[in-house]
Amino acid sequence: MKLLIIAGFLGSGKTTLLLRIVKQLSAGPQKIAIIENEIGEIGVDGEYLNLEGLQVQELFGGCICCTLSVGLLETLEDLDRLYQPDLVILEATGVARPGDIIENVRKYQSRIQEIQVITLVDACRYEMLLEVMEPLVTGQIGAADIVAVNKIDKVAPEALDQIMQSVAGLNPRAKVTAISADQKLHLNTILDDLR
Amino acid sequence: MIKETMTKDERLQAAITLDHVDRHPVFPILVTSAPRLYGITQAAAWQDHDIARDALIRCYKEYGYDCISKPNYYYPMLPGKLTAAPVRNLIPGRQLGEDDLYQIDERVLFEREDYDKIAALGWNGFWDEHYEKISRKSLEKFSAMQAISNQLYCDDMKICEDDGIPVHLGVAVDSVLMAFSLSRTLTEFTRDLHEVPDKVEAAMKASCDDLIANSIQVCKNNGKMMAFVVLERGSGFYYRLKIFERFEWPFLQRYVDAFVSEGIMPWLHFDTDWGMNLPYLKKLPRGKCVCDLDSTTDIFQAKEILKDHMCISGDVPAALLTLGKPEEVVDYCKKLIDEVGDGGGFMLTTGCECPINVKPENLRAMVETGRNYQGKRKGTRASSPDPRKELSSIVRPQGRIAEAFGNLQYDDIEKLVETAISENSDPLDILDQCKAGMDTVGELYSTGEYFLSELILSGDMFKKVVDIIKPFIAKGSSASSLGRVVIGTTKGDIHDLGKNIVATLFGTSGFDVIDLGVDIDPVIFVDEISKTDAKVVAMSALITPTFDSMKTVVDLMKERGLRDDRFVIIGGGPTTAAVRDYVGADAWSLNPVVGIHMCKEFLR
Repeated sequence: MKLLIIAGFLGSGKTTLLLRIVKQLSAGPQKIAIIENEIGEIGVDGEYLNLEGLQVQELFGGCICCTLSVGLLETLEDLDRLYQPDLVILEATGVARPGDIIENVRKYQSRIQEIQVITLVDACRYEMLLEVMEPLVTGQIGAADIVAVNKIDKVAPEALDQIMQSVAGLNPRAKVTAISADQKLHLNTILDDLR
Repeated sequence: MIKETMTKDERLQAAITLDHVDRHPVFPILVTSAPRLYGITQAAAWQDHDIARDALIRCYKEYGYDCISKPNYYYPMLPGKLTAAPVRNLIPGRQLGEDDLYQIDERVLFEREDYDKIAALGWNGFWDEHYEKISRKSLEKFSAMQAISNQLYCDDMKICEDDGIPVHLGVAVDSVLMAFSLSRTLTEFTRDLHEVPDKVEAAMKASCDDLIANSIQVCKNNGKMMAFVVLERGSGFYYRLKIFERFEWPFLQRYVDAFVSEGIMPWLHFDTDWGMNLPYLKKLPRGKCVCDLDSTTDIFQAKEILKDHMCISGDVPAALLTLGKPEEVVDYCKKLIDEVGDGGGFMLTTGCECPINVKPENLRAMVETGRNYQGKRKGTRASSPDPRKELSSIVRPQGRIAEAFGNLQYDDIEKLVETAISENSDPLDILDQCKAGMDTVGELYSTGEYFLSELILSGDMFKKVVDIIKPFIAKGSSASSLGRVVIGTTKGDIHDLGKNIVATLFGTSGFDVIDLGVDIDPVIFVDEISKTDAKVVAMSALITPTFDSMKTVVDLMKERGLRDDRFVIIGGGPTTAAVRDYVGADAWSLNPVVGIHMCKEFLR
């Protein structure tokens, strides 16, 4: 069972990206399950889930330490038992550091063989968040395999270049790509690495 | 089995005041898991306080811990006066499934324009006017509900106490930042901090005293003098230290001062990782508060920083209690007792709330380890009841020069050092004595025996000594350079004593030292690294705001392609391993000799 974590601050476009890529990935032979850890503006459409009896988690606002981590691990266990997916996609809560999730999964969930992290960066708010919330933002970017700078349709090309450079500086080992999940721009740059 | 010689209350009080305990207190922060352990749904426990209370009492009696957190699901409160953001809870059996865990429904409760109104009216005045707008309830109805809830809390507390079960929670209060963040939502509040910080600050200043006064009144009404302060969103997990320093720390200090002066014990409940913020807690009064950690902050590091200053409670992780094996729980609890419990000032508790799905055998393993395991080391030995006496009598270092330093014999120090040099004493030994003397001065300052002027005087004494011995140290240095090191105290910090010691030792160890001095702009720092091609970069901090400028240096190094193949080391009083990670340095040490050894190893 593989785990794909979609991370990024609240409102960075995680749910939209999730819906886009699930549609593409589910066309292939992989059996996919989804765990939703975020209260999103848009609900995840049940037609993609097809997971009878497994609820969509909505845990933000609870306590990250004692509610979310355990809820996530138990849901992984349930999925493995009831559904045996090839790939589990986790939309992490916007205040999660993927590194913390990985640590807990490695410790308590032996069925996960491979973990991949996509961190979404909101191009419109990147500068502001880095200025104020730098520890969380760098924690999310630092643990990513792919950093997708989202909402590129809403920023000027020069601003985008600066963001891409800044992100690459924060995580030199990650693939940094620019997308618009909403406008479906450049999503293949992510999908190619996931298929 | 440890022989128990104290009552549960005495044990808890002694742990907080850092005095001797027969064993460390042990208890889970346990509410929602009690009904679950006995097959009762969350909906039933929410609807009927008798059911919740009976489950909590049953659990306490079955597992045998020291106290319970709350006597039912409700919080003590004042009618119509808030001690926390009035967030809406989603309740099992109503908005959620019968046996789901309750959740907070985080929504915008006031708008950005309301900050001015809060600044004018204060916390109480604002909500008196505003509450009905965000709720379907009138203020009268809301007040009546709070009165009922508080009455049930007090009634159930009395039932517990009549049954011999201690309850300590007097009030649960959000930190000012937490109350505002929850009222605005994390996203909007973060934007406010960036775009209208002055308005946020003014509203917070106008709210702080109301939140304190409300909390004190709740404690007095129900006769329980413990304030559980909810802290999460001001941590270094979320925000830069400058946010903490402006929007969390000043108000937290006001909380603690006010509660302590009213005889109320502040139980500081820290959710998420507060590693970077821990050094600040040393400024809170000794032996008066609890630092309660949730398993995200490194509790072992917290012990290093706060030992002999503040009681630490924690931090058996939720995942371990739910998914681990009993023997793993036992091992972790023993480690906590051995390391965090060493010397006292510790309570073995769950990291945040006991998870709803705790395995009974794991809860039992935690409690029984706490009650039966004495610890490998000194265990629960008493701290001295008089810290000044202890420092004065024990910490005084050896050596004439060290003693002169500790006693601040300003007029004698030059002569003593010159005599030692003329007697062929090792200059490094003289430096060590000075450092030991400086440590004594620092400790006496932190306990209030010395004043700031005396701290400054000791700094002058140290400079005098370094000037005298420098030529003699240089004589012993290696002829061929090990490499260049750029060292300095970065922007915002003008302290140089520690940095000077390290610079001197770098020189004597064979390094070519470029000492930039203090308050150095990161750009100048990095320019110098580029110009000299130094492979080792050393930065020092004595105050926490310096962390950000240290980080800027490392970020600039990365930006300019100067980070690879270079070794960045940091040190200084408030630095920790978490600060090293935050800054992006390779190494951290508080011991100059160890730090220089690390640099040598890198160059090798």
